[in-house]
Amino acid sequence: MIYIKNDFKTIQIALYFVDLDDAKYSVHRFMLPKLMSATTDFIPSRQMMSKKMEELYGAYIKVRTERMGNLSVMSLVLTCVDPHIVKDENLFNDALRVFKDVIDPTRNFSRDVFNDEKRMLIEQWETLKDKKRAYARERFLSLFFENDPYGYPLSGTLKDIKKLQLEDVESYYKDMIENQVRYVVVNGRISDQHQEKIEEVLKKPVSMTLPFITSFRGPRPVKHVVETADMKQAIVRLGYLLPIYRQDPLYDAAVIVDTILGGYPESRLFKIIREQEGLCYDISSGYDYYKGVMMISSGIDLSKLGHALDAMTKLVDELKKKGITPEELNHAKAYYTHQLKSSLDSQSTLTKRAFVKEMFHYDETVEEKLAKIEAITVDDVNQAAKQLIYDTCYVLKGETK
Amino acid sequence: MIQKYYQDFNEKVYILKLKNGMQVHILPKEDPYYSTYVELSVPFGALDLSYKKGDQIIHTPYGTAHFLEHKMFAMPDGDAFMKFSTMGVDSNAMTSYNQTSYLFMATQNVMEALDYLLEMVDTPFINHDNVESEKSIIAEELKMYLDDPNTVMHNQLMEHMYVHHPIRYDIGGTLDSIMDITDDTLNDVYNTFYQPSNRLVVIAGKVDIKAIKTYFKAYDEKHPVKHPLPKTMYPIEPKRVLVKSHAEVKDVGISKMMMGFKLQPKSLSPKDQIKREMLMTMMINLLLGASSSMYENLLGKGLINQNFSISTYFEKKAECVVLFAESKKLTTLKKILITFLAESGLSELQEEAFLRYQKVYMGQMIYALNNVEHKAYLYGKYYHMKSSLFDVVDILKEIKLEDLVLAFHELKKTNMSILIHKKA
Repeated sequence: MIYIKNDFKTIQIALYFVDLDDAKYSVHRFMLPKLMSATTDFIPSRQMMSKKMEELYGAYIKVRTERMGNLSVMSLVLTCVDPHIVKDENLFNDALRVFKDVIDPTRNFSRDVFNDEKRMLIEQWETLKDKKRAYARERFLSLFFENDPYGYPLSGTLKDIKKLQLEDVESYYKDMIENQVRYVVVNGRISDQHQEKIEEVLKKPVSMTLPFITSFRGPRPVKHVVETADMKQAIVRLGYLLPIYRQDPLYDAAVIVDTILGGYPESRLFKIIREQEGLCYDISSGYDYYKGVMMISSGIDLSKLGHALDAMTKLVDELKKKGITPEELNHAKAYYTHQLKSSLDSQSTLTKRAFVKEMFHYDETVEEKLAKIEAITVDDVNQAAKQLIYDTCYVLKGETK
Repeated sequence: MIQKYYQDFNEKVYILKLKNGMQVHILPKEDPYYSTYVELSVPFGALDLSYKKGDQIIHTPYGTAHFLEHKMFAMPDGDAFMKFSTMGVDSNAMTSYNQTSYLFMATQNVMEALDYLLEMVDTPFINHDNVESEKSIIAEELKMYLDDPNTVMHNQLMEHMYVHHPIRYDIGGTLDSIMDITDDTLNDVYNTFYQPSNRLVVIAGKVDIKAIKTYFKAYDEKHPVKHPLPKTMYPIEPKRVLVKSHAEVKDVGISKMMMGFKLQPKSLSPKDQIKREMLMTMMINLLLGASSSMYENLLGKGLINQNFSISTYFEKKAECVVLFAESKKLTTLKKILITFLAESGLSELQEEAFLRYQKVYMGQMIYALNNVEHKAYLYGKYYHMKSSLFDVVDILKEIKLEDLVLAFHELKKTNMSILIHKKA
């Protein structure tokens, strides 16, 4: 159990369940935390759960399922206000009791809630195309990560959802609660009494025994896919391979490549494609260090799509060929440092970071990390940038007149 | 410097009132804390389209405040947005219906960034060329929103509910209206609304109070003139909605409905206006929020999904409640909601639920104080409403169940507009 004691005005208790990412169980892992947090044996309906959380000054359980390399991470994070502020002595114990019941190994799940969740998940798929950006993202991921677990929808496919039965989820839950790797992080103003209570109520964490693999396929001929929809813009998503992973020596240099390319307002994509050429409003890049890839996304002026695509790919080519300037490096380093420091003020980020550090045995301190950032050279960044390989281009666009 | 301490929340506020009329409010956070958040705001937003200048009334195109927000980042030596980045500082800006804010979050170079923020707001570099080139960027921003069916529906509903009020249009304006904005429009608006006397600076998080005090003392000496506050004007809006009901067939996955209730704004004191906003929001959440019987019922019958939402708008001379739902059984849903909101819902306003919701509001306040960015934003919002964030809890305590019952009667069928996008 990890404790972070500080002066935030809320207390967080986070529970993380970790398993290998397996397409067969995607839908189970996506659905399960929603069902777990919707009811308990003592709070048997959604409405009653909402009322209970309202009684606890609007406490809430945030659930999420995500991928980290070859692992699937399911999280349930309870947040409630610090009882000292509202002078309610029972608040913490009441909130903890709800959380305990949420993860009770012998608990039951409501069939009504399961049916509601299943219907809503199906409806989410049925309306995906209405949300152009979400649809474009899903399509791009399925093309870029073709034949890779990352290309499989986090929620499972529509077919998986339709096939899913409550009994499947229940049996998966029992196995998960008994056997799977789990971590607990507690963050906030916690007294010794609270700590004892937490240890009494929450089952002991089970540490990582699973192999952690970060890898992706090699290069292939560039894949171009253009689709049309009733829309005014063209949503462009470009995928590049950048085979540098979280544990690699060039990792921080790769973060700087991302920053300079499209990670902040002084980035090349922002300056050239938006400010100089006026081709878009939003443009940015993102680096996934678990898969070793860089992705660019933008909403482009439909009438200038061809030119914009050329300009974007040319810009990346130039970054690879000519590298960066010392000034660009200094600015990007200052920004990276700022991002790191400001994240220390976010309770949710601290909670998640504590879990990731524990799971992957990252023992680097903030000071060590800052020193590492300071030591990055222009050569490091150029070396990292040279590894970018253009791989996928997906466009969702309106019909041009 | 005025000092205030709010014991219930263990929050301190230091207030500097400059001779030029500008106010600086400092909300410190004790160590260990790394970030400083600064927000400079002016009470000039998307709805402030007409204003008095001498005897003349100036009318500006929809989207003027938002356009000016974009152009404030233009500086003679380049883009201020990028300059902030070179300092290792995250900057941003936002325009709402009622105010425009320029902000940054810093963990280093705080005083340099603060100085640059003031320099940026004091340096309108707006000319024909840079206004024209910005039009394509803003047009892409508007098109991005127009590709979202929910935004399209919201814009359409507002056009159906309001006859003259500028809330009919998106905060950013329309693809046509932004083409009418010129450098003259923006310079005039800047000179009228952006004077120091109309500005609030909120500094929250890690702060060096002495350095801030010294800085603003010098700033006040450099900018000594106190300008009169401008007078904005709003059109007279009829009570009734323009279009009561409208349905059209659309290429969407599931049919969607928006239901809007146009409320009649009242002339109230700032405190009573905040109270009104809170109690109306509380009332509609008690009726249709996640803990209500109606929500549970609609979900159980498969009539709504997770996208069901309730929004309230309390803007200058325009107030409304808007519901959004996706449903495969829209006709049934519509019927139930109308009956419930116009008649039977009253019985759901019970003391037990009301007391529970008061706790939720208290909790929300504490959550907001936990996040320096959110805290500073709300602080500025309530300041421009001539109140204080920390007085909100006292206002909350004044609300009675009877107030909610009275508010329920303001949801009238006659002031309702329904918009349906039916699946093709």
